[in-house]
Amino acid sequence: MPGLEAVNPALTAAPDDTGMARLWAAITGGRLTGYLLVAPTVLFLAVWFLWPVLSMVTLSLTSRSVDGVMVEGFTLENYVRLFSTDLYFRILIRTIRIAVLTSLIGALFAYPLAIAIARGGPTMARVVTITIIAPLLVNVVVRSYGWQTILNKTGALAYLLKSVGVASPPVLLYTEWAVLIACVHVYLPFMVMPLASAIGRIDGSVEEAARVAGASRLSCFLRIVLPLSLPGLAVGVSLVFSLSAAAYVTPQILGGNFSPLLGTLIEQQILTLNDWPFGAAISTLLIAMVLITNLVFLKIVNRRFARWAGGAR
Amino acid sequence: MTATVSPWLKAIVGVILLIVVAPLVVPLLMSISDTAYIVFPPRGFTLKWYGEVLANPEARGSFLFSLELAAIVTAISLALGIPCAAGLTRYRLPGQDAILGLILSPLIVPLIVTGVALLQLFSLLGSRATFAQLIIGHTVICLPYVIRSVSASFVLVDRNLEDAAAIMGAPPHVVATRVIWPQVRPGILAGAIFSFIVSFDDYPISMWLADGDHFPVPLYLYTVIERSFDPSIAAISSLMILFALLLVLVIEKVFGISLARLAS
Amino acid sequence: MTVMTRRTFGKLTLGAAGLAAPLVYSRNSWAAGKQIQIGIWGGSQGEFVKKRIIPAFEKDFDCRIVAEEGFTLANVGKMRATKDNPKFSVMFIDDVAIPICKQEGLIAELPKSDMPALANLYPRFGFDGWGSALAISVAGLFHNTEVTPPDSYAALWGPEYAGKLKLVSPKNTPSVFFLIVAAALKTGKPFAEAQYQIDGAFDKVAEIKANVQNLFDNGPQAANEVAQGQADIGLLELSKYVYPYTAKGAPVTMSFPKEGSFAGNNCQVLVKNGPNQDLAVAFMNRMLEPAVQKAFSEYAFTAPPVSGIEFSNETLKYLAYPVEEMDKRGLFTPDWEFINANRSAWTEKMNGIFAV
Repeated sequence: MPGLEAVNPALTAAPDDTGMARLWAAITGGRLTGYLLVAPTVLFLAVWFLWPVLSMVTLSLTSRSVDGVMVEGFTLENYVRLFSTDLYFRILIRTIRIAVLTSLIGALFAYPLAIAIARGGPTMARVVTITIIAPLLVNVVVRSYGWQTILNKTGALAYLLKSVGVASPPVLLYTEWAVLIACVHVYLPFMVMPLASAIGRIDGSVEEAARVAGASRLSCFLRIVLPLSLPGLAVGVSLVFSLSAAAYVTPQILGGNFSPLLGTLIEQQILTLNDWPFGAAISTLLIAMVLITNLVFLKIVNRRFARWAGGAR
Repeated sequence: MTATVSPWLKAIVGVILLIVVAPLVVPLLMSISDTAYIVFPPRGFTLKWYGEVLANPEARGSFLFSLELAAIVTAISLALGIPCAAGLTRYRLPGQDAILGLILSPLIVPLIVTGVALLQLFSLLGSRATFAQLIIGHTVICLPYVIRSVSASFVLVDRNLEDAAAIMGAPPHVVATRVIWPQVRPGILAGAIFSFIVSFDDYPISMWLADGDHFPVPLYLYTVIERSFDPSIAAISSLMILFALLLVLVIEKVFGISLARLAS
Repeated sequence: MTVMTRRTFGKLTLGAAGLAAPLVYSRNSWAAGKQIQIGIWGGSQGEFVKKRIIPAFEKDFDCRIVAEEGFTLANVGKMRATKDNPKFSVMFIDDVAIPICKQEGLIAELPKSDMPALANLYPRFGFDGWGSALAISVAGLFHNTEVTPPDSYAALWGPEYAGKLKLVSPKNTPSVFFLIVAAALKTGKPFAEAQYQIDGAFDKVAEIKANVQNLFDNGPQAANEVAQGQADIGLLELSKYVYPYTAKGAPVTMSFPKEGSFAGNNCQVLVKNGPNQDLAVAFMNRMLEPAVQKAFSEYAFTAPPVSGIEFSNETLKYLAYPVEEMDKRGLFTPDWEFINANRSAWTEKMNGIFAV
C-alpha cells in the first residue's frame, strides 16, 4: 500500500495529537461538508441540464404537431400515439435487447482485458488501455466505414470464414448483428476501465493465498475477483447499457436503417419531421426505461456486493 | 504487485485487441489510396491526402479549437466532479439517489434532445456567447464520466488509513493530499481521459450550439464527408489516432502517472 | 477563432474579387462594421459560398458574415429554437421547409424593392415572396457505370435487382420522391396526380424491400459504395451529391427514367427579426446576381433559378437549364404543403415496412 508509506512522516511527527483526529472527524463526518461538495455540480446540472431538458420534455404534453406545424395547448395525444402503435413497442424491445446484449458481451470481453491491465505489468497495461480507447477517438462515420469493409459480402470476415471452410458465410452488414458488434466495440473501454480499477484495488495477496491453498484459477476468479470487482462491473454495465440504449448513428449506418433504436426515431422526429413534441415523448420513454433499469440494477448489485464482500473478507 | 497473468489470458487478450484494432486499420490503409474515392484494398500509394489535410487552414483551425474546448471542458468537469464524487461516496446524504439520478441522466437523455434544449434556453436568456455555450454543453455531458470514474476510486479508499493518519496528528490537508490523493489519482486520470475524448468527439451537442467561428472537428469532418467521400477523411482519422497516442504520452509525462498505474 | 473565417485563400480570394459586381465602395458604407450569422449547407455548395462568395461580399461591404455549415432540417430547428431571439439572419434551406417556416412565423417576406436581382428570378422559384431558390439539382437514379440502368423505375421492382439497390432513408427529402414514384407506378398516373395517392401505394413500397440492400442517409457515401460495386443502383438522390464524383472520374453517374425526375430546390430565406436585416437582404441579393450564380452553378453542378446565364456545352450536360429544359425533362416539384402535412404518417408507415 503506497498510501501508508506516504503518510509515514506525519505518523511519526505527533503520535499523541488527538486534535487532528477530531478535526478530521468533524470535517468528514458532517453532512454539511457532503452537501457543500455536491452542491456546485448539482446546481450546474440543475440550471444547464435539468431546466432545458425538462422544458423540452414538457413539450410532449403542451403541444403537438398538426400537419407538420407545431401547435400549442395541453394534450395527451403524443403518448396515446406512442403507446397505441405497435411499431414503437417493438422498437422499445429491440432497444432493450441491444443494450442488454451489448452490456453482457461487453462484460465478457472486458474481464480478460481488465485483468490484463490490473495484473499484467506496465507495458501490457499501456498497450491494452491505448488499444481499447483508440476507437473512441475515431469518428463514428469512419469507424462504421471500417466495419462495413470488414462485414460486407466481399469483406475480410467473409474471406476468413471461407478460408476455414464455411461455404456461404453470413453477411452481417445491415443486420442487427452489425449494430451489436459496433456497440460492443466502441463502448468496451467504458466497461474495461472501471473494472480494471476495481480489480486493481483487490489485494493480490488474497488471490495468492487462495492459489497456495490449492484453488484453481477459475475458482479464484469466481470466488474472489468476480465478487470483489462488482462495484466496477456495476459502473461499467450502467454506462454501457445507457450509452447503447441511446445510440442512433450506428443503427443507421451499420444496421442499414433496418434496425432502428429509439434514439434513431427521436432523431427522425426532431430533424426530419420537425415534430419536437412527439420526439420529446419518445425521449421520455427512453429516459424512463434507462433510468428504471439503472436504479433497479444498482440496487441489486449494491445489496449483493455487501453480502459477497462480507463473505470474502 | 507481481504479474500473474496466465498465457491463456494473454492469448485471449491478444485476440480481442486484434478485433478492436481491425476496423481502425482499414481507414489507415484507405488513407494512402491514390483514388478520388475510398476503396479497399487501396490502389496505388500516396500521401497527398495527408498533405491536403495538414495544409488546410479550416482543418487546422477546427483541430486547435476542439483541443482548446476539450481542455477547458475537462478542467471544469474535474473541478466540479472531484468534490462531487467525494461528497457522494463519503457521506450518507438524504436524497442521494436523486442526486445520482441527476448526474447519470445526461448519459441517458438523447444528446440531440439535450443539444436542442440548450439552444432553446440560451436563446431565451439572450446569450450570444457561442464559446461559453459550447463549454457549458460539453461540460454537462462530460461530468457523468468524470464523476463515475472518480466515485469508483473513492468508494475503495481505505478509511482506516485516513483515521490512522489523523489520529497520528496529520492535519486535514496532509490527509487529503498524501493519503487520499494517491488512492484516487488513477480514477481521476481515467475520468479526465474520458472527458477529453467525449468532448473532442461530440457531434450532437455541437451541431446545435456551434457557429462558423467555433467549429469543432466532428462538425468539420461531416462537412468534408458531404463535400466528397475521398480518402482525406481516412487521413483525418488516422491523424486522430496518432494524436491519441501522443496525448497519452503527454499525460504520462505531465501527470507523472503511467497508464499502467491506472488500476494499481 | 478568427483563424477560420479571416483566413486568406490566395488565388481563391483573387477569383472572388473578379466575381464581385463593380460597386462603388462608399455606397455601401451603411454596412461598415456590421456582422450577421448565416446558416448555409455543407457540401461543395457550402465550400463555394464560404471560400468565394462571402470573402468578396465582406470586402465590398466592409462587413463580416459568419457562416455555419449545416443541413436544411437542422437549420429549421435552429431557427425554431432561437425564434424569440434570432441568432441567424439568413438561412439556406430546401424548398420543402419553406411552408413550415412561413406557418410557424420563422421567416419574413423578401423586400422586393431592395433586391434588384429578383427581377431575373423565374416566377416558380419565388415562393410568393417568402424566399428564393439559389440552385436546382435533379433527383434521379445513380448507378455504377458498368451497370445499364433501366429506362423505367418499374424495372427496379424486378427479381434481378434482389439485394442490389440502395434506397434513400425516410430521413432524407428524396425519400418523398421515392414515395411519389411508387404511387405513380401503382396508379399509372403522372407524378402531379400520383403525389396525392401515396397513402394507397404502400403495398407497392413494401414489394421493393427484398431488393433493398440498405436505406442510406449519407448520399456521398452511398455513391461511393455504388462506385465500389457494392450495389448496382441507388434511388433517389440529388445530382449535386453524385456529379462531383462523376466529374472526378469515379465510376458512378446518374440516369433519369422515362417517368420523369424531380427538382431539388436549394433556397434562401430571410429570418424574421434577425439581426441587421439590411445587410442580410444585401447578401441575399448578392447570391442571385448573375456573376455569382454562374460561378456557383458551375462549381456545384446545379442549375441557376435566374434567367439569362450562359454555360458551356460541357457544363450543360450536367444541368437542367434554362427553364424550358427543366420542363422538357419533366422536372417535378411536389406540393410541399400537402407532403409536409402527411410526411409524419408516411414515415411511420415506412418504418413499419423497413424497420421491424
